[in-house]
Amino acid sequence: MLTLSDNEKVLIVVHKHWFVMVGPIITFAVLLFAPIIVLLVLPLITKDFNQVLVAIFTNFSLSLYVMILIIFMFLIWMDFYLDMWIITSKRIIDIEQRGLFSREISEIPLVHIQDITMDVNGVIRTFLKFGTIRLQTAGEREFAIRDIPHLYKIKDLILKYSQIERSSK
Amino acid sequence: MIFTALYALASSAVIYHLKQYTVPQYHAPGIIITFFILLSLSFWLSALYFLMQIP
Repeated sequence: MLTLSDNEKVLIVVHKHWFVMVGPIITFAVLLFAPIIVLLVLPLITKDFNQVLVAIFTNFSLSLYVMILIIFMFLIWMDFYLDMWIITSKRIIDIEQRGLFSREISEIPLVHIQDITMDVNGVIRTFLKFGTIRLQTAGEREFAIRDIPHLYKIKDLILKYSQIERSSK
Repeated sequence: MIFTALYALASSAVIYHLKQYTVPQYHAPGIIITFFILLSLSFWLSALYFLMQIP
């Protein structure tokens, strides 16, 4: 996946903060327990039907329903997990996964970084200490990674190694 | 059968992406993949069992 040049080492791999998954997890939990309402109402609707058949069909449908929920949750988690920055001693590799079979990868040489901006908005981000880092390069392109933890550590790492790269050129 | 085929296709695609694009030193995706496969298999077998019960 990653080919490093001579004297290049991976410093840190930055993933999004776990809080980003809280919304999808809550949705998953609600959808997982929603069939309970159906199960409570079902006996009233199906009292004239063969109860054994109803039970079998209900269990079959529930199994399929849970499988669908699991695969959607897995997909969402994959999208969350594969969005990352790989910061090496020479460059930043910005990887953005967009669902299945769609991926954007950008490489930013540290020597081209002109400006770093950190953005922490909101109560939750302030208390959990995660936010957005934006980089401006010499080519006036902006790269950003949203909802990541350890902002100051990452900013210091980028600044340090970008200065090392500039002084070595 | 169609459901199983589509489910297997989607699962394979996700597992492929995770195996291909995870940094080698990270083991968490491997654990989650194993957990996902076990869960999926359990519910698939359960669905198959109830399907076989339908006369």
